[in-house]
Amino acid sequence: MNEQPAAARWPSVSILILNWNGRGLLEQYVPPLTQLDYPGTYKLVLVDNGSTDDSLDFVTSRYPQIQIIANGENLGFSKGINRGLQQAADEVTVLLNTDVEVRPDWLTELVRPFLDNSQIGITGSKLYYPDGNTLQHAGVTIEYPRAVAPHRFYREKDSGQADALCEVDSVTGAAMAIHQKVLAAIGLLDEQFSPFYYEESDFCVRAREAGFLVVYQPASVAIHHESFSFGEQRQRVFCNLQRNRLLFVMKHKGSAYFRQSFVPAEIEFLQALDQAHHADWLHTVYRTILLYLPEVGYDLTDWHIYEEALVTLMKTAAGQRSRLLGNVEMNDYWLMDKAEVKERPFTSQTPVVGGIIAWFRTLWNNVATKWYVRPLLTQQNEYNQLTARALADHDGRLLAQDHDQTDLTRQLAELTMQIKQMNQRLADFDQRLTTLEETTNSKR
Amino acid sequence: MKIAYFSPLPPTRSGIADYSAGLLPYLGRQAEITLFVDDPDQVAEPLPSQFPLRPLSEYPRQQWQYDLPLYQMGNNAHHETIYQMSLRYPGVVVLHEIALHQFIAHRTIGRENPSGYSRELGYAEGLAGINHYWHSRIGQVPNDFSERPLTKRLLDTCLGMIVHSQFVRSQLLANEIESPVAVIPHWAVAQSNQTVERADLDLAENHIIFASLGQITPQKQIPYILQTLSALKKVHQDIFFLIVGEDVDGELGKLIEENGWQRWVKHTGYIADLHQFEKWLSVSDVVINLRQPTIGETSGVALRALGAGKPLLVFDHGWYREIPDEAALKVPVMDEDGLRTAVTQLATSPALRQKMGAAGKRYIQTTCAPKIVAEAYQAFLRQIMDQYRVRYA
Repeated sequence: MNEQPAAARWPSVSILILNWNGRGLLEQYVPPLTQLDYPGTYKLVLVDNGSTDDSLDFVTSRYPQIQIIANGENLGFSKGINRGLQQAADEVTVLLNTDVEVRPDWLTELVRPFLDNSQIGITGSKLYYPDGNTLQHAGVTIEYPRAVAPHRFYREKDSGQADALCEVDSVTGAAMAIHQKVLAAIGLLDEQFSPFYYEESDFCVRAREAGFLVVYQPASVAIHHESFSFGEQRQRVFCNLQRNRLLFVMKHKGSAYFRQSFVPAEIEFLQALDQAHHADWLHTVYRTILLYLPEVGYDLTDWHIYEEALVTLMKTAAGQRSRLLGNVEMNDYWLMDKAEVKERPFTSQTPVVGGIIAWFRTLWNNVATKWYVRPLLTQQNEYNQLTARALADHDGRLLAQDHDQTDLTRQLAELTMQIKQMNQRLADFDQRLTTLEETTNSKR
Repeated sequence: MKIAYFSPLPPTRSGIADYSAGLLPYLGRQAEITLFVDDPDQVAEPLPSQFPLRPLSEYPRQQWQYDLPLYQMGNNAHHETIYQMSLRYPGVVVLHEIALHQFIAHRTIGRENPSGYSRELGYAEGLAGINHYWHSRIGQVPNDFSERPLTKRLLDTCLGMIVHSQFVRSQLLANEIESPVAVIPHWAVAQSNQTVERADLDLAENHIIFASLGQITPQKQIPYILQTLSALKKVHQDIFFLIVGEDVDGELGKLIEENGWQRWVKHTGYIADLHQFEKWLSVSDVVINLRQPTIGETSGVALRALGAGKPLLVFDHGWYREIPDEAALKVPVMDEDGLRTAVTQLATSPALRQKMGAAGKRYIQTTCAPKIVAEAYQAFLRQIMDQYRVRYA
């Protein structure tokens, strides 16, 4: 066990818990926070993002000692947390998710590195999945040039590989301690990454650029229950993550790097995709950033480099999507639904004996249609399917021809332009020859 | 440089017809221009006296006489034959509107040709576009096509494109245009200020007049402006709101009356006469030109206001972002606090209004003057032609 410095040396701490409709989570995971064995002083602050459940009532009545900052609406992670950071007056501010279950010594160990090394500005906890042994977070390595930011040893069973306190590129905001001097030096989270993803990486990178160390502290342990479920939000979450990844690279690496290093690596990644919808979603991300270049917060001095790079990425993603999509669109052809002639079940509204009547009708129909109508139905369905497919194929060919025709028309126009230019040059030559002849003749 | 120029022209009632009428005298100094129109006999003076006029139908035979065709393209039926010509004989297109949906829908569905419409959707979006359309026809999905620009065919065919804002240029790049795209501002002129007595227009001298000019549509957010100004009236009693233009929905009068705003709001109704319109503009202290939503369209009223030396109050999006900050106060979209702050700033500082007005006029003179716009056209057309210059070893 580490020697404990005297209580007076331990910094005061504010633990900011960002909440949105997390009443159930608060009920489960606030109690351990009120029983931490931290030697210094600490307080809990609930930053509420416009909850519509009874989170606020619950906290107010059950934990009146918890300070509440009510944002009034869902501002997302960075904007929400910044409202809390703006009011933070303690030496250390800890960001904590509502779905993180802490141990009694979690805070002590999270803060300890600040006492051991004054250059440390940010620390992060070891987080397990609910089984208590599978690693969810042990620091983050940012892998360039694509700036993918995986958690170290993600989903590995803990067998000691993540037990060393070490410097890392970034730590998760689910359980992260920030020394006040970092906030004083670099300010708050960058809200352009709202609603979520990459704001912690951006913050940590800025802290490191300002001379602070970002450290993973394995002795500070908690369980992350990951209450956020992707479900129907899968596309939105994916697009947000990818959008912020690109913005992160643009902000920290600049246009030359983006063009020369990021784009080739991104193209390689796109060409290796095996899911058409991922290619489609990435196409949307590139297009979105292209459209909103003017709204990017920092100075974009090489606008046209980013434009060109994003157009290249869009084309690559579109090409990959087409390759992977194959005949999927054909299967979705609008006539396919209507192509099948389906039998309708017999029913009867007659009370009491209606079921028997319907059964009898079905039986009679089965006998009556077996040798004549059913084969006709099968034949009709086969014909319908073939016709629908033929029409789908026909439509596809027409589209292809349409594009070919446009290409040819354009090529013809370009040739026409070249011929016009050549005609002009010939006319110039003619003129010069005529002038030369006249000059020669006049000299004779 | 010999240019074949395709555009609706006066007396056709169209903003693009007026645009061409104003630009051509200056463009004519940069290049030899021949005007191709549906009916040359219908074109109003002075253009027939200044430029050769030919029927559109003659262009295919005469195309070798011209270096490049230049097409002015808008989203209405006046551009029917121009559009067809631009697809058959690609050239440089000036795209005045980012979307051509209304135009395409009119020439397909409007002529009982749903297959033609689905083909346009298919060209832009592939088989998925066709599927979506026919699924909507059989009621399986909602009909939400009005926001499709349907410009892909034109983007793919043209040799170059001219647009009026970076915002629109970005949209075209996002739609994967291959040809060069130039941003050339819509032309406008700086005007000398008219001396107009406010009393002649039944306005008081001490009023700080905020004006909204042009046809009143929901996008102009007039009720939102009225609510914001009415709250400010308690503090700034000199504020007056002037609304110049036709009330399309017919609800404005009722709104003003129900709230008892008649004492500080004046609605002129439709003003047909341009001279009269400019009088109302000249008595205004500030022009409020809000648009929400926007599809990046350039506002003729905003340009007129800048040219008249009036400070602008706009939303911070679309084309409006590109107006110099010195000439326009830009408010976050639908931000009431932002609008209140901006109105207060402008109402309480004549020096600020004067400074912004001067900056606006300077912007028009240095960037949007027809002569400068014509020179930019010439440079871009030359750039397109140079792309096809044959180089000999």
